[in-house]
Amino acid sequence: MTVSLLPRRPAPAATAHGLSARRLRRARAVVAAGLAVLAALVVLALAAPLFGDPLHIDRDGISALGLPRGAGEHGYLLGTDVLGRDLLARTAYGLRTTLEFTVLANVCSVGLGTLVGLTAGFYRGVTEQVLMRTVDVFLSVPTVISGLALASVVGRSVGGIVVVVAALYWAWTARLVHGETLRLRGRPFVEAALVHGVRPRTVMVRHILPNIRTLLLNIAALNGAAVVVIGSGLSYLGAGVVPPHPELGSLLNEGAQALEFAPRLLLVPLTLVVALVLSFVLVSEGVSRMVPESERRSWLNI
Amino acid sequence: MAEHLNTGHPESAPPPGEASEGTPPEAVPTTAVSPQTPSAESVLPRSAPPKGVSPKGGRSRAVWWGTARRVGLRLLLGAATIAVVVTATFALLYVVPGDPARGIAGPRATPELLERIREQLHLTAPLWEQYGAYAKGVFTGDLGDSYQRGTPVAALIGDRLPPTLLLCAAALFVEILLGAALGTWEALRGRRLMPVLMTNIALLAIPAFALGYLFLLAFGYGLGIAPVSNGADTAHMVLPAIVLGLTGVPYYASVVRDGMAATLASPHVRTAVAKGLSRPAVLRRHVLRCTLSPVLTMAGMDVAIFVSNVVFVETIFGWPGIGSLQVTAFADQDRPVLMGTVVVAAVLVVLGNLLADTLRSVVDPRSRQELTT
Amino acid sequence: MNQPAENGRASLGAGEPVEAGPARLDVDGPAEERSAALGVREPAGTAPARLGVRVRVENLTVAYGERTALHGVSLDVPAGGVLALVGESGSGKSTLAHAASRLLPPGARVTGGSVHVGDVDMAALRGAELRRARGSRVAYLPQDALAALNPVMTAGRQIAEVFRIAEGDGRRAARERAVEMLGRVGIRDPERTAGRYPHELSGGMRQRVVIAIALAHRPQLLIADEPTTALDVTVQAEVLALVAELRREFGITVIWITHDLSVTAEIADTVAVLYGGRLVEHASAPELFAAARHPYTRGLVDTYRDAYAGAPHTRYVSIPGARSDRSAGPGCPFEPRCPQAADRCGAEPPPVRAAAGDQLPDGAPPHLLACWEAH
Repeated sequence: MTVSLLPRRPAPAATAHGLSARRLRRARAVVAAGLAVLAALVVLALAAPLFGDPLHIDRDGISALGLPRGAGEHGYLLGTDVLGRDLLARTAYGLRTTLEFTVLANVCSVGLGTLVGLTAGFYRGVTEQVLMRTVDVFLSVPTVISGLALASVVGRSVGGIVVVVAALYWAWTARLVHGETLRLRGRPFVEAALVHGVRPRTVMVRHILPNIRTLLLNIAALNGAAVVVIGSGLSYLGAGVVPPHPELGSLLNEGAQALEFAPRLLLVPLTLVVALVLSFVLVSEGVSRMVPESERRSWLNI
Repeated sequence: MAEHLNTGHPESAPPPGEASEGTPPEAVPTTAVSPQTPSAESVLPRSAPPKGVSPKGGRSRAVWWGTARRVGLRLLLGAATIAVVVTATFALLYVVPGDPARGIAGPRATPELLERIREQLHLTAPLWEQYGAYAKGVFTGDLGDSYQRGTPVAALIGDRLPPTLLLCAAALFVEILLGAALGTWEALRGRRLMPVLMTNIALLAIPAFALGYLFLLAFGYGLGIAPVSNGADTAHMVLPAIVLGLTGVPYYASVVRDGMAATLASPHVRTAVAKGLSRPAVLRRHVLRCTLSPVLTMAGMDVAIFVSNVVFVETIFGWPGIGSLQVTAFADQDRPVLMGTVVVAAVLVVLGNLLADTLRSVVDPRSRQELTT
Repeated sequence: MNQPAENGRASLGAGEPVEAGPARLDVDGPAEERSAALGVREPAGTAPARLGVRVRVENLTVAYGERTALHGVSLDVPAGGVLALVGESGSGKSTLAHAASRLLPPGARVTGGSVHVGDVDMAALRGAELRRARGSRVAYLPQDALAALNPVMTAGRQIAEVFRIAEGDGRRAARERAVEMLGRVGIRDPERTAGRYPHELSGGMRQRVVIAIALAHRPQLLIADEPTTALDVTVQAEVLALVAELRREFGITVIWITHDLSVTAEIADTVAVLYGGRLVEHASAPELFAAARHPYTRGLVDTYRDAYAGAPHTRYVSIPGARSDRSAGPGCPFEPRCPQAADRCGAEPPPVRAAAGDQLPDGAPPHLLACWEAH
């Protein structure tokens, strides 16, 4: 996700600097909208136990013709799936699983990437070359194809997804953080701190990290979106959580089997996946709007 | 998805017009001609080169060397990438827990059978010998045999590669066309446009598999104008190509918008306007080529995204490419096929980057001098 | 040339002090001899070309949105004359240059007045007429030559483009003329330079390419917007000499924007000083250096003399007050920094009027002044 979402020339420390009040208000509103969607989804996931057992197969769950119950029938708010399980309960639990691996994988990949990027950008030299060439390799590995290959070895579980996704996604965080660290590394305040004998680790924590926090927030949001997509995508392809346990991706897969007679089974988890990705995209869009854009006006219309 | 993020990085696609300002003139291989000629004759026009200037070809040789070094470095990095991927797949195939022989023969195989299979796969040999055999195999096009089908993996992938490439080419066309249209629209209007913004956010928020199903429901089952069965003809390609292409549109739209806006705001466009060129002429002769460079960088990185999203799209639409091969191989736990596809996909990505980079150096002379990646 | 300029050059003398100086130009023969000797093609029957026309800026007012950057400035440059437009950053000198060449940045507009180049009012042109006038009537020489050149086009093609659009030349003919033009602006081996990209050229060569583009149109007025500021001193001297030389060869009228009085002393016939978007003084160069009237101009000339003629360790005279301390009020913009400021100065802007005093030589432009207190 590029320039529309990431600052091309990343922001200085004061993010709100140089923005008109109106623009800042709008940017904050976009972030707030994203966070609101995310909060609603988290609440739904936390409330999952209220909707019943996702694995319980009810006798009333299937109609006499063997079809799943539609939305609202027999007290099932969203109807049932092909086996007669409550779709609402399954979806809520599925969302829970998805959120679990999203948070874990996001923290792991962004954390690892930040560590590598900072180290490479700060210490330069051989360290930088080794780390960044490794990053290059990871960046040219196609994610889904290698994700499937990796999952076949790691195994199918939430932990498996976290490992696979973190392994595939840390590299681009590293690359972005590296670039930004390089830029800051050359700035006088960093050089001054080093000349004055401040320990490199302290310089990184005190001077560099605070200056890349906007970038990190943006990366975390974008990476979150990507992690949802790849995680539930792998689940959808069968490489995720083991079947009876619901997960949004595997629910999609189940729903796809019922595409012709009960598209609802596909559309409900699909809506939640889109909402989840959207919340991250909105946060990122808002954050990047808090960075003042350099005024560029076309010479074509003079 | 995430591979696109690279372009947010300042060193991947410098905005035209600004990029070269940091290049000191000393870095330029033009030492043969001294610009400082503070003699009385310096203001006089000259038609013949004066003494002391090296003959023609000095510069072209320097440029040639620069290009050669650059291409060499690229090739080297590409080769290193593939070597690392091969090593990683080897590790996943032979070193990690799990017995490949059991994978082939199944859980009920007799110990004798397992022993025989291990012999065949050189599993009894020392690790480095196994690695040597595997690496040699990969570089001679032998990716091993499928556990499930017994046929060579290379042949399996070879059958599936052309449909995937065809699909990707069609998607690239959709992507660049739509992305360029939206990006140009915004750049020429000089501000963010609500419809474009909404389109971008929507396309970013809808993953490829979700978009695939929505299209299948709408056009296949709903309107009935697209086939819902599996197939590999043109009619079956339309929907997957559009879906695969649409997922990349926001990235292209922003790259084109940013590149073009930066170019339009750069002083050399003012020079073009000052020359008395008409608007279309300024756009055609001066703006377009400067915008092309970041777009090409993007297209190079696109291969990695395509090769990822293609798995979803092929699965949903039943397109017989390497993506659906990989999904089947996963279901069968057919590791040689799984790893072989990874190697082939990595080669595709490296080749794509190389191609885009070469094209970029044709379009943008400045990029010929960048020796780093 | 007046005294300070000679001193200035001599004191700069790190490298080649004398050759690069303006005095050398006087040694050169008449333009037509040189052109003929070098076989440079002149337009049929006009050797040397006399392209320059009289330029009259009248009451020009320019606004950036709400903010007025230029308040009713009037100037008069005779055909073939060189006017130096002097001022610090923010004085409106670049705004005037952009307005006159119709290259005001987006968002700025001419809100009043006219810029007559010959008998054409540049400020009133629209559409295709404006397009044709750009370049052919007024050429603009920008400050940053590298940024002003298209990075993905060879120098030759960028010059040839002018011949192709302005005169409809074919590809080959345009290229030949571009090479010729490069030779004319003093580039050795123009053939090879034509095939190079801007980033492969040195700063001085880039500036020459930009000059070649500007002159390819055979403009009547050349507006040079501090084109030598980014160059180092020796290259700067060469470019100055080149423009002076080409000016005499083409007989072109020149408005040279600068904040550097040594440049002014070298090339200008007349000098106009701007402060805070208003004209404060306008006189011939010798007159201005000898008898500046406005407190701001006097400060400038003193500082300049001091810098060049002063012995080592002399304390520089400077104009008191910060540059940002510019009045936005109704009165004279220099009032907050002015040693002579009176009550009236802060209330009402002084009108431009003829300065009282010595008899000017015949044919010299009138000495104009905008100050309530000085005379």
